[in-house]
Amino acid sequence: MASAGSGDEKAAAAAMITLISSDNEKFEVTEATATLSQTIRHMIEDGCTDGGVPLPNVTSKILARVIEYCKKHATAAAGEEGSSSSFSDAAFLEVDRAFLEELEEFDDAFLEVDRATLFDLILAANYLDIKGLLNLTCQKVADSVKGKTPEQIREMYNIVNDLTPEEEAEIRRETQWAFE
Amino acid sequence: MGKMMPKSKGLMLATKLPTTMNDIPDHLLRLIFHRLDSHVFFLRAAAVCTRWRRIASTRGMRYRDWNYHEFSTIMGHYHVVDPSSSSKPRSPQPQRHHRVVFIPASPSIDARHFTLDFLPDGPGNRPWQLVDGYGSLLLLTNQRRSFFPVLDIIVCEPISRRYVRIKPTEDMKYCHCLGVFLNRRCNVTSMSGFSLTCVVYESSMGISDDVCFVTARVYTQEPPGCRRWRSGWTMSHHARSGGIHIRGAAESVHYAGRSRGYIFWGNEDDGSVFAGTEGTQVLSQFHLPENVRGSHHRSTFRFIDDGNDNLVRVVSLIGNDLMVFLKKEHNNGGSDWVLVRRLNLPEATLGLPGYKECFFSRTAKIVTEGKGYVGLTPAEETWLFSVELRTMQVEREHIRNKLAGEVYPYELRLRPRVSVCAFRCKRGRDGPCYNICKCK
Repeated sequence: MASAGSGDEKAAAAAMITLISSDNEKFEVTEATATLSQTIRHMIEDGCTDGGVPLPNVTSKILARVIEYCKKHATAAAGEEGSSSSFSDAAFLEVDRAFLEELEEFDDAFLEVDRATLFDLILAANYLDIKGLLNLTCQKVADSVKGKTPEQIREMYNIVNDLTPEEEAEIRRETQWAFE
Repeated sequence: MGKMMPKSKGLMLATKLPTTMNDIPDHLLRLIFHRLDSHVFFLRAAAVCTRWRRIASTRGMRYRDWNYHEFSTIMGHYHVVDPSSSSKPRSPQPQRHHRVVFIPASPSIDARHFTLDFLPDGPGNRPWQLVDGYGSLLLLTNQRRSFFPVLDIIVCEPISRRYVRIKPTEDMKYCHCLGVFLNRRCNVTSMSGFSLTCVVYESSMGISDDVCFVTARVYTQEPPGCRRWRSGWTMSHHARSGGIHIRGAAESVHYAGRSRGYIFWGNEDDGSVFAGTEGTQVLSQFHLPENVRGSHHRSTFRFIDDGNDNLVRVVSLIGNDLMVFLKKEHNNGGSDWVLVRRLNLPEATLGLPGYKECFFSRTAKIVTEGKGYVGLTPAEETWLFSVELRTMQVEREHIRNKLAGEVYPYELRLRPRVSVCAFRCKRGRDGPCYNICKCK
């Protein structure tokens, strides 16, 4: 995979990738963990990971969390060849149920973060192209919106209501039943 | 793909502020919206602010993306109840008109928000007849399909209680109408941007008494706000060049379904079929091969959409079998009808509640069709059941089988801007009218 570039020079490093956060902190991860990110996977394929992968959009705090997620999920995807970003249904079935439950518990605990961190994780998952993490975090935000009125949503996420009173009245009139 | 340009210091400092919802780009917010699993949550999210409203709207979005929601965007179904095939007449007075009934898709949806009581009185105080529906729009005319002079057409959106009345052109008033349809090819259909195809016929004087000339007219309503905002019917000379002559009495021509952008009619007299292409004036005539048609009778075949592939399909009743044929085009321009599914109706319905021994002694009837299914009844009495074409699963309990007649699903559509109505501003402002400017 990482045949291009000066691969022979660092034979031991072939399996390890260095990720550099925006605040210049270095993280050593296995290639299996790193390739959960499609972005890094493409870089490895292009052979441009020597000297570490700078991730200017991701802080060390968030990168540590993302790596935590990838490590856990890389083990789940271990048996699977090819796509590393998400688990196909077939692969899911193969994995032992107990492990799946553990993974679910891990995901639940993983999402116990404040809102700013959750948004940072969404942005990082998008930037690094980690589908599983993106789905997980988006679902978390979607769940938080469920059952709330527009006012509650605005309050929760500090969103400024820029609809004119007339527009708001019109929206409510159009689909009044949704607001009852 | 893997280009990692070091960002400026300023940007790095900016990211140190706590990240908020405002930092989430539109495409990610859309992903989040896709994960809302109910209409109510979705509509509430669409009422948060203009940005959320815009992202939740369907304009500029491909239908495929829109359909991706985890909840069904179908709010319910409008049933046009056919009075002639009502199994249990409740009122002693026979109903002459086709009743329109809205059945919500889920208990959380209140049917009273979907009534059509906001429409004006029809010509001659006759009730409007529902003849087509697509997305959030319904199409109504002054008479049921077939054999009426084109008089009056209404396109309405019950959810917002808006309507637009469309007058036919002068020359259309001397024709008889075979059907009016909302074009389904448009990605976004709303009150401010839709198009109709109206197929009409006139007897061709001088050729022969039993020859009709069929033409298709297209009405386009352009979205307001765009420069070339205009609406109207196509010119009649364009329509005439695409027209066809058909042989037979007008009464023997019947609607035969839609598939992949074509609208079909059958002719019981000679068994021929003709098709109009949605949104164009082009009509074409052909014959279905013997093995595809059981009889010439109108209730034995329908063209149908599956919604997944790009092929024209026809369901046909031959004896007691329901058969599904796909049209396979060849490179040399020819085409074949390939049998893909077959279901023996007596066998498949045996054991369903209400099944009677006497059923299927005569060929059954196709009552209605929709995306991926066909509704049938035995000829002996009205006992509706539907067949899902993908699985050939027979269903009796489905809500669409409770009421005989055509069914139009009603889908949730949201516009990015609020209150765009389909008329020009009455205060003379340039462009479309917004209700909120109170110009009514």
